[in-house]
Amino acid sequence: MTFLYENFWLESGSRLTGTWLWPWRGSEEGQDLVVLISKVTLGINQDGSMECDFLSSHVPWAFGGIHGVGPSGDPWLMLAQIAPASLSLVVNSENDWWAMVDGLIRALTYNNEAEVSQDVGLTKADLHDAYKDSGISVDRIADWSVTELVSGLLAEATNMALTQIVDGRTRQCAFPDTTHECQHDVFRDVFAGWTTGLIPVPDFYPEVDE
Amino acid sequence: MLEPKPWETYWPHMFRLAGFGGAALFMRTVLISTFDDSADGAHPQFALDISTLSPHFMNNYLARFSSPDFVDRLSTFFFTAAAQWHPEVSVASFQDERLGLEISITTSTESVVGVVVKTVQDLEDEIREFDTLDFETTRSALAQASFDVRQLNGIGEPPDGDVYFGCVEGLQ
Repeated sequence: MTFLYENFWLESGSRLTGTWLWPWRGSEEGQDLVVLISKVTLGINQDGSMECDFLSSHVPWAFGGIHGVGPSGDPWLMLAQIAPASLSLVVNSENDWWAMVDGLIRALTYNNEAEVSQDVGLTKADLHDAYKDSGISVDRIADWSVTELVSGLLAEATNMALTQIVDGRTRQCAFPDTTHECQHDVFRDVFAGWTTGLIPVPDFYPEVDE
Repeated sequence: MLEPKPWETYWPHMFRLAGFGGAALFMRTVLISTFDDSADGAHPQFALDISTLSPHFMNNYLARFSSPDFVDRLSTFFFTAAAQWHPEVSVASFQDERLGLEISITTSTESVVGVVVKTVQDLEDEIREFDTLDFETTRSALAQASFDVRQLNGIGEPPDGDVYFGCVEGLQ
């Protein structure tokens, strides 16, 4: 079970081309945070690695994401945003994800070829459920922040088992049995490991329902 | 039935070169009307809107005219900048005096190129002041830009003659 590939439709034969984490500008203290993950399809000839940076620069609550290409080379990205649920009160909205939806719509006006094809709004309880679905008891992630929980799901998209990521978080190392340049942050260690080929690429990647 | 005039089949063309950090250069064609004393009043002419974007500002320069070979030169500039090993040394900056636009390559690695876009704020000022956008983009984005910018030429099925911003031969 890979959360992102289970919840977002990808054409068979799609593959991952990169990941990124953005300096998140919010604070978790005393905040009830909510998460919005959006799949954005890009223009056929656009450069996913650059466009995810461009888009994140214009999205106020951008946190990170992954990008890839379909079987025909058509690029896509999945952007994760994190924001306080209380922002909805500012505009009297009943939608806790309002600020993030609006921020993404605004940013996409600077790229006419990009469009949101799917999005999923999550609470912290939903994130716990995602870990439970991978066989991880909530006790093991009870002290994780929302940013850590989301980082874990992004890291999992590199084909690293979520259980290994949870194991690695204790020692902040994803590859304890392998000589590597450790990032001393399990999530960044996974991303770096994917870049340097420490994580095997699956035969059929990602697995999707036909 | 009346034949459609060229401007009735006109469809604006867009160009976008995006970069890291939320920077982008945009261009858009626009058909404008100009007046002179010589003939029958209004004369349609193609012009170009230019915009520069960062996360902190967006500057728009509207309805500017260019030199005749603008699109070809800009396309060649982008392609050469994408292809050369050290474009910051080997590629001369692109300049269009009439448009008030200058684009230079300042740095490069094997995959990323630094670009500086300088735009004249007001073309009618005697002492010109510039707005500057300094950003990095990928070589693949520059290569794509060299193709995309050529779309600016494909306005309203233009005649065989030269088509540029500020003069469209055959368009009466």
